[in-house]
Amino acid sequence: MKRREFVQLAVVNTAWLAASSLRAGAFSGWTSLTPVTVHAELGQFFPPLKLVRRLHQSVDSSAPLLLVNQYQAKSGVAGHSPEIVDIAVRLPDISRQESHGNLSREVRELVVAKAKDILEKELGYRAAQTTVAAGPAFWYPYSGKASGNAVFCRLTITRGSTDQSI
Amino acid sequence: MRKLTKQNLEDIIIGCSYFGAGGGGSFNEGLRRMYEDLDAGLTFSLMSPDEMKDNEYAAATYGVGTTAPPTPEEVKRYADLPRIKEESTAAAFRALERYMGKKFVATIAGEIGPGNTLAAMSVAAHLGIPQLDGDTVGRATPEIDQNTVLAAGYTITPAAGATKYGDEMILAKIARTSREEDFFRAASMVSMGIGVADTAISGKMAKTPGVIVQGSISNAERIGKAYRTAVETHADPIRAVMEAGKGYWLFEGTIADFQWKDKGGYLFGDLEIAGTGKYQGSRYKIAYQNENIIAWRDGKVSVTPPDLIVPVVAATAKAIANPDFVKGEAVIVLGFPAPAPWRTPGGLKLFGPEHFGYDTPYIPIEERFAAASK
Repeated sequence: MKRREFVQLAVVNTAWLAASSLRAGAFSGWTSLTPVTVHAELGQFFPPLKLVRRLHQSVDSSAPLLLVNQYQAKSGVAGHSPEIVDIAVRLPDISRQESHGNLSREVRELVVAKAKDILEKELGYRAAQTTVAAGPAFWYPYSGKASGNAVFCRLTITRGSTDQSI
Repeated sequence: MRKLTKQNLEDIIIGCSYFGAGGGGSFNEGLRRMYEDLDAGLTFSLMSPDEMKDNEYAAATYGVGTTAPPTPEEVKRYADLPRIKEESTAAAFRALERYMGKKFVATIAGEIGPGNTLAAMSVAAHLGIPQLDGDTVGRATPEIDQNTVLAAGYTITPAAGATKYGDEMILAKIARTSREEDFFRAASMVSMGIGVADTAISGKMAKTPGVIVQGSISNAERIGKAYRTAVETHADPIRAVMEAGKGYWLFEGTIADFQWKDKGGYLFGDLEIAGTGKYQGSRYKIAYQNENIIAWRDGKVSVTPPDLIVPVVAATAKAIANPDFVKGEAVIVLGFPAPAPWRTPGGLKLFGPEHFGYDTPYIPIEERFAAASK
C-alpha cells in the first residue's frame, strides 16, 4: 500500500471512529451534544437524488435519512465553516388534505422537531438556535406509497453557537 | 383544449426551470402560486393556437424586474403602500383588455421560465381562460425586445403595466421598440417589480409560423416529464433532461467563484466553475444579465446567445437560478439550441451576441460543440 493511500485510509477510519463515538455518546449521554446554530429550509422540491433513492428503497423503514454534504455553505459565522445537511423527514401519517405547496404551521413545526431529533441522534448536534427560512415549503410529490411520505429539508449548521433558547 | 392535472403542471414548471437559463422568475414562487391556485379549486387548461378563431385575441402577461432580493431600504420604502388583491400581472391584463375593448380568449406566456410562465398560467386560471400553448420567446430572456412577434415585424403595443400597489399605466405608442423596456423597467425600479400585458395578437397571427414559438408549454412539459420519469426509475435525470431537450453536456466542475450586482433593473454577474473529472484543469465562465448570456471555456467562447446555457446542481438536477450559487457545489453545465425564430437574421439582431455587446459571431451550439469535441 502506498503511503498516500494508507494515510487516506487512516483518515477515513479516524473519521468513522469519531462519528461512531459521537453517535454512541449521543445515545448514551457519555459525551455532551455539540451546540450548533441551525438554519432550516423546509420542503425542498429538488432534494439530493441520493436521498430520494434511499427514500424509495426504504419506504417501509423508519431509519433516518440524511446526507452530510462536503461543500461549504455560502454564509456563516466568521471563523466557522457552515456545514450543509440534507434530511428527509418521514411523515407517514400526514393528512391527505395537507397542501403540497404551503405546508401548515403545525406540519412545519413537526418537520423542524423531527429534523432536530435526527441531528441529535445521528450527528450529536443540539440545535441551540434555530431559524427557519421564510417562503413556501413543498411536499415532495414523488414518494409513491404513504409510508414514503417525506418533506426534504436543507439544514445549514454552524458550530460554536452561543447557547440561547429559540 | 386540455385540462391540466397537478402532475402536468409540475412537469411544466420543472421543464420551464431549465428553459429559464438562470432566470425566468422564481421557481418557488411559481410552484407556490400553482399549488395555491389548485388548493383554491382553480382550473388550468392549455389551448393550441389552432383552436383560436382568426379574429379572437390573446395577450402576453409577465413580470418585469430584477431577480435580486430586495434590500432592507427598499422593503422599508414601500412598506406603507396599499396592496391590490390580485397579482399585478392579472391587473395589467385586465387594464389592456379595457383599453383595447376586447375580451382576450387566452393568455400567452411572455417567456418560458418557472416563475413567469406559471404567472401567466395563474392569470389565465384566475380569469377562467386557457393558456395558449406557445409563447413569444421559447426560453427566458432578459429584455422585452426579445419577442418573436417583434422579430416577425409586428408591434407589441399597446401595453399595460400594473404594480402590486394599485398603479396602472397604458403605453399606447412607443417611439422605438426598446422604449417599452425603458418605461416598464423604470416603473419596476420604483415598485420592486411590475406586471405587464402586451403582445395582443389575433388567432390568425398565432397560427402563422414564426410569430410565436408554438407548442413551447407542452415542450416544457415533455422535458419536466423526462426529469420526473428518470427520478422515479432511478435513472439520471440530468441526462434525461439533456436528451429530451436535444441538448449538450458542456462542462462539469465545482463552483469556484461568482459575483453579481443589481444595475438598472437587471441582475448582472458572472459565474466561474473549476473543472472536475475529465474537465479537471479547465475553467468555465458564464456571464449573465438576469439570464445566462454567454459562456467561455478556458477563455474560448463556448456558447453564444440566443442558445441556452443551463448550469444544474449535480446532486439534485435542479437548474440553478442566478445568483443562487454555493461555492464548492458540484455542477453540470448543459446547453440547448435556441428556438428556430431566434436563429434567423432578424432574431439574431434582437438576441445575438452583438446585441449584448459581445464582439463574437453567433455560431450555433451544435457547431461549437462539435468543433470543441474534436
